[in-house]
Amino acid sequence: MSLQALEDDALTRVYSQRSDLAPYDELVSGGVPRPHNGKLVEHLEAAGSISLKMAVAEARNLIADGGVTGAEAEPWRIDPLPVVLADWEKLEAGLIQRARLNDALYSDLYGEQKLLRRGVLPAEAVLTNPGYTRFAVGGAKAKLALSACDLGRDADGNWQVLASQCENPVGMGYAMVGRRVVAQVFSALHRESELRRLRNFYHQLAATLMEAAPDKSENPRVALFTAGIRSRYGSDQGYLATLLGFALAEADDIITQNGRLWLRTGDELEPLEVVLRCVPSADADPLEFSGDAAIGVPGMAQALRAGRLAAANPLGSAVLDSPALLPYLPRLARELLGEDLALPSPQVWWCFDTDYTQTHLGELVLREIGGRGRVIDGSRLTVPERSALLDQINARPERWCGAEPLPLSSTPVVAPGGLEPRRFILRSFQVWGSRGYSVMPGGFGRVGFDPGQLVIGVDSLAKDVWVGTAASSGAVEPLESVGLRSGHGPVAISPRVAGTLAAIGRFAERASSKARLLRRIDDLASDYASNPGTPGHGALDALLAAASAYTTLKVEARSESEPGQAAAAPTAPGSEAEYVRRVALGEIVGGLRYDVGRLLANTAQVRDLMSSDVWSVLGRLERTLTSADADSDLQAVLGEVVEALLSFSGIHAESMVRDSSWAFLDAGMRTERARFTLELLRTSRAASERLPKQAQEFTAEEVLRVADSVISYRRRAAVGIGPVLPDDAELGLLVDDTSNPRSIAFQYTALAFDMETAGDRELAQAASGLLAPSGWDARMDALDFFGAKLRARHFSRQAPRMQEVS
Amino acid sequence: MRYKITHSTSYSYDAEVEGCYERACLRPRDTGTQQVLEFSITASPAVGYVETHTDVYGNYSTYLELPGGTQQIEVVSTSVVDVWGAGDDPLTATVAQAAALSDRLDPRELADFTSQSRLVRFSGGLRAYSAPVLAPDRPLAEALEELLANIHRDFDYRKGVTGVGTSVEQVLSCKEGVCQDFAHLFVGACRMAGLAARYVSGYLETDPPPGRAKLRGADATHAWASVWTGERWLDLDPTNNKNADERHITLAWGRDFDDVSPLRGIVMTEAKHSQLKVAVDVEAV
Repeated sequence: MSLQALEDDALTRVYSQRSDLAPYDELVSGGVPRPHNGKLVEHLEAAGSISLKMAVAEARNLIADGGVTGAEAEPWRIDPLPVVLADWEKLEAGLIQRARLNDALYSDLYGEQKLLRRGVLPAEAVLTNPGYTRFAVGGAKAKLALSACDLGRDADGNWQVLASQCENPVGMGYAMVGRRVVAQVFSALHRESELRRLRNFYHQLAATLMEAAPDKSENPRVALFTAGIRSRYGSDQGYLATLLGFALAEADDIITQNGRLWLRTGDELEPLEVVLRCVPSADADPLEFSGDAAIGVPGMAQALRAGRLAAANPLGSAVLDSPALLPYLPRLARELLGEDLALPSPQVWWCFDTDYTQTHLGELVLREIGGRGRVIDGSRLTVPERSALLDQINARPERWCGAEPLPLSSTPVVAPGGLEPRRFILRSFQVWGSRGYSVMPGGFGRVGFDPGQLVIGVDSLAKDVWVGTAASSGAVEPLESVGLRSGHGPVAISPRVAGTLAAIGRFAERASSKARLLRRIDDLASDYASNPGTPGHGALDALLAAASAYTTLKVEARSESEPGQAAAAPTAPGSEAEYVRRVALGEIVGGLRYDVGRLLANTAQVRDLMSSDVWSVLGRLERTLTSADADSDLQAVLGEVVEALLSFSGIHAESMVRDSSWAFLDAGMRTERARFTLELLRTSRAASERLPKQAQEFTAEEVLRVADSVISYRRRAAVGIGPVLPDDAELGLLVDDTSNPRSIAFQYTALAFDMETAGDRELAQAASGLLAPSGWDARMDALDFFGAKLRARHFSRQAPRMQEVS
Repeated sequence: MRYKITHSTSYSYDAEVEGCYERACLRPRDTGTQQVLEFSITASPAVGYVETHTDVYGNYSTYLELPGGTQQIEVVSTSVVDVWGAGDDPLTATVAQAAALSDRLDPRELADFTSQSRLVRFSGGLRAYSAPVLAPDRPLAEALEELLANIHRDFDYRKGVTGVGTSVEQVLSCKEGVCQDFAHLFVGACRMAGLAARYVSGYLETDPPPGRAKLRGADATHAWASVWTGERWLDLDPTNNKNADERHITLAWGRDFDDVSPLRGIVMTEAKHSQLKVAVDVEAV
């Protein structure tokens, strides 16, 4: 047996003997693997530590290629080892009960309020909670479509509920991302394990949302209501939207009229009947609540109150998440359900009730009610931190709870030295349906960053959680019967989305044009920069002039001379190469990196509309540019950029349905390509005007090269169907030739088709006439005018909101 | 007394308004000392959509949508209300006894009106100012009277120093403010002493300066405090150092101004500036 194999054989054994395992470990017990982990351990040992480390890297790449980000656009992280649960059935029953309890509690707190009136629940525990939404009291009856909670194990391995997470249950998208990544990294293991699939959960959620439509309409419009780029977990929401098949809608996409909400599409309004609310209640409606006015929709709360709109979850569900309610849950379960509470919670001391927390700060986990909802491990606070926290608690004792810390279970993660234990938390999701609540089999697992970390937030290292089919109660796999109502109709898109799609097309094309142009300049510079007066040098000057006009970045060493006379001007040696490098790699507006950055940022905003292939192409593009530095071979870098953007436009051409989404993306691309070609021709012609005929022809050929049309020119010239002189060919091929996909005429024809597709006859007609003016400047003006009209008619945002109080 | 109240709020903008959403707390409620006979609300541009419900405190709350297309918005409410003064049965309880008797309230009222709220926060400064006056064993009537007098003595009435988001702590340090600030201060002092207290929004009929005719729009929205005495709610006006009487017309009550602001709105506009004008007429009829 080799040394490597010897070590590998020991992976689980070494892990099982570590002194920092929790009292209950998910993988091993008493020094040997738990029986249900047999297959996992077998794979783990067979793979060995090196393969495990490669699995970590592979997971990281898959996530990067998928464009999945965590908070603040940091890359999302997952440990590739799944956590396999064997005791699911009992847990599932407890979770369903918890969901029913949350629903009954919501219904009473926002309805009759018997619990408060009769003192079953102390009124302060609800009314001092900022999440308690008075505006929602007495409104239309709302179902808690989703219930969620964070779970951890106690020392005996029994599950306890650490906190409910009904207001904004982050992780429904991440759970599926994690499953897909792990299933790919450990494909053999995944194939051999009979797991309960996650997808039923999403089918059920989609069906439940559609059922929630107020008028029971046949084909209700449902949207994920999001804060967009202001969302901390936009990636989770985008992924969830894709899984559910509903569009993301931000405040700007929605308008309230006659007490109802409408989605703004091109020129009409579509009724919006249900929202999956990914915006906190406090930010959902700036008219009623004091949150961020830019995120919310004025009138939304009124529409919800009156039952003209349904939300999952309904407004004010944050009150259910309060740790101050935990001590009352056993009583509430008996009161509301007539049952004993199945899943306990750790003991909690509410600071409003008792000062036990204040005197035992170092032994407890502190949970903030409302605010940022902080969870703090008291034992990890320094003395000054402890006293600062104590001041905050004493100022608002009703906003804080102390909770007995649970040891949690440990589970292995792949670390540089082999397997290391981390404490484990599971976020479970329950969704309402015609058969009551059902539970996502598994959920959004997370582990701490170090072995002793007991407070494990949403931003921690994720874990995929596996539940075997053997652990299923058998009655909860209603895949077929849950079926989505079909006939969703083509999704009309909002001005924000239309504008974003056009920006994607524009920046992709812009980056590609720049890379092509820079590539030629770099090439010419290495051959002709030190040979003034040669035709090649003249062409170099002309392309530099085009580059500085198109990028708005000037060539520094040449700033004193007129572009057309550059041949006579002294040139600092190497300044052209320096310029190319600056435009290609500099972090400047107008530079290539900037365009690619804008392309990525815009794509991230409409991730629900993008094909998943797009992310791996963009990931590659981003890596190419980030890894490039002063020593990189620029030709190679630019070549890779051009290639990646070709794949990008290929995906867009081959895998997008020709609907209005496609049309606006295409329009962005077409207008930009036309603008670039116009600029290239205008500037290079002006620059080479006074040059000898030979230099002019050299320049024209270079322009054809930049526009990727030199082969067509040669082929046509050779068989005698095109002009022999490149500068005539240039005009023919790049301007009027509708058969050349790089010509301006071709862009305008495509643009007219885009506008037809988007349903705008008037702009379609305008696009067809864009080549009518004569002269470069007039044509450029016509294109600019068209762009302004396109923006005004299709991308117009709502006016900003001004808050008035008197 | 019977009053006809006209309350107009107008905003003008330096750019066109695309649309406007308003939440109004402008319809007076019926109370033990007043009855509302008539109410209407109109707007310019004409109201596009309107809907009224009663909130958790029993106030009328109105949702309004106004179309855009103008640079000016005006909301006008008109009410006719009969008001009679509260009887002044003597208060026999001490501060501590009244606080203890707040358990006679509905638990929800008790929790809301004895706790801190966004604009009424407890602080060392507030305790220092009010605790000696509202000492537990003092007769409630005497203590409240002294608190009214102290606020009237220690704080100057001045417009423009404070705003809709001014905290009690700020009012304590700058020693000036308007009726809303004094009401918050009074309410906060009572709550810190364990008394249930609520913020009342309404109107006050005013007299013109001696020898002058009353000007149109000269009245204003007003605010005062209401304290649970153990038997009933007692309305006190710290701005004017007196009990509220038949010249006080109640619109609504809540924990603080935020719960009952007469009119707040979201206006969709590119405008950078807006100008607010409020005109109130309280006319005895």
